[in-house]
Amino acid sequence: MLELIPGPLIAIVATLIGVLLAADFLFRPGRAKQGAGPLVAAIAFIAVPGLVLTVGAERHIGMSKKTEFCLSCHEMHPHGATLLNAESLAGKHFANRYVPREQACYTCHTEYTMYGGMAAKLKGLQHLVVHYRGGITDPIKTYDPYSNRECLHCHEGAASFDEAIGHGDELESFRADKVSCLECHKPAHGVEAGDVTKAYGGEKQFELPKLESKDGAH
Amino acid sequence: MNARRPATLIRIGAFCVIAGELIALASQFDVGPTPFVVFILGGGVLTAGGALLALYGVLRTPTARP
Repeated sequence: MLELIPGPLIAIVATLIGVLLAADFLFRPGRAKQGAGPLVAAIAFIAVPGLVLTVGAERHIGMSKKTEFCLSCHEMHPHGATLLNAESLAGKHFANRYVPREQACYTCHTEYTMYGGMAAKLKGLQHLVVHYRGGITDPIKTYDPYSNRECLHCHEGAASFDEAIGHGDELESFRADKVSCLECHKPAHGVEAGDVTKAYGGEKQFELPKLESKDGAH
Repeated sequence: MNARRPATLIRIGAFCVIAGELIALASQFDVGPTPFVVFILGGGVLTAGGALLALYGVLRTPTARP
């Protein structure tokens, strides 16, 4: 039911109710123990702020999956630019819409496991710390080697995958990560050494893809 | 203004809750790491801290006599 109501509307209405209830206590703090005062206080200072922060957190987590979010950091611009380079693996996925363009980075850089989404969020927080504290490696490397599991999540069983020469014989090796998909399908991005530092320092501009989003939040 | 009076605690707490909720809302209209941090530190901490302060003030308020 809540999915039918736009996220911003829920956030605005919840905030408005929260502000009005809290404003009542701001101007009339004496009513805290009069009549229904304690109940209203519980709503104003527990229920509504809880709702406001939950809705806000949900919206921010949704927005953090967007390509626009990832590319809002300068150091990610070289990688963002490779989405327009059809020679790179990322560019092929973006150009052919193998991944949703609004969530291009997240689709490939999340883990397709039970708690993969949560692990991706925790790594995202780690990215934030690195972004603000500095110490970004050039070239940027993933924390762990890229697992074939993320590729096979979409490609395994697809006719184009099964018909490709060599895939059928090596499937078990792919599943066990003995042979990386990237050994044949490289470069993943093709970012040149030094580009990240130049982008972070604002020395070089990179052409970024224009992203059309159907929904402002997700 | 005595900061230890229940009414003052409620006022300060309510003000922080209002400010925190408005910051939390405003942060949702932009995409990027900075709005996310503003939401957590500005919205989350201010709202939660203000709510705790206000509730402490409510608990310390003497019950009104009829």
